Amino acid sequence: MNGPKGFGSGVLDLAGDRMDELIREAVATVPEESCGLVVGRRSGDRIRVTRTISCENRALPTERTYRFEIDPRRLLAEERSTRGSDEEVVGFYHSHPDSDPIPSVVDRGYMALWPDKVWVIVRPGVGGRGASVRAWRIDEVDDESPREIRIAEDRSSSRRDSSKVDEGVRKEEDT
Amino acid sequence: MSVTIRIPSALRKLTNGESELNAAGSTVRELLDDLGKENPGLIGRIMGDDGEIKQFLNVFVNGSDIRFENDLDTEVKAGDEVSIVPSIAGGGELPG
Repeated sequence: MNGPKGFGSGVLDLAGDRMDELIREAVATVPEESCGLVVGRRSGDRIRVTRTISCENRALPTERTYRFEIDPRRLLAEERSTRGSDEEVVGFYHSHPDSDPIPSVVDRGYMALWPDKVWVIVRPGVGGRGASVRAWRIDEVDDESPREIRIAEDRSSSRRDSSKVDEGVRKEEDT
Repeated sequence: MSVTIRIPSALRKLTNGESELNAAGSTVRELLDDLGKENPGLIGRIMGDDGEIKQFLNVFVNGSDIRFENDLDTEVKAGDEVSIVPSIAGGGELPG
């Protein structure tokens, strides 16, 4: 059976305040899923996230609590505007309001279409408590067993408010 | 008349890594038919047995989704930007 594999190579550099922003957006969007584009710079097997772009969730209104869909035109527009620069759309993010930030079966089906993108998944936890952010990608096209990418969290530019956000906790019970 | 078609990374194995290909035609259908002459494997990944664009792929002509235009009969002209883009979707485990 296909499923997420262990850690692969590569590192995703994500500033602490940007991570907080992703969690805040996911919290604010509960019970629905938040989603967007991840823009950054590649340097060998290291990807530094420079910004994220929040996108409307275009899944059916009745399904947005467990589905997301980003208008591909948002990607095309961003690709156009970063063409010729050292920035590019390096991946996508979305939240799992009620499950761990691990690629679901549905995620894995779509990830198989995106061999060069990183998928950042955010669990908002309860109001940010127990929140976590994890990143994944596939090794090659049609691969439905993503590997996790280590996130190097840069907290140098932000002050952490652990009373509101606790990314260290990976799992909180669904009670 | 030649139009440039942007190929998603998922399909570049079938284009020798090329991210853009040129094809001739005055509609999207003609472009894809032309692409298929040199890249038969590629067309099998873009179109289903029903002759339609596969469900999880989208074709845009100058930023417009052809599903909301004339589908495969959407007209194209030299200089148009045609992009094939997989859907960006997914989501958490089903509730319950």
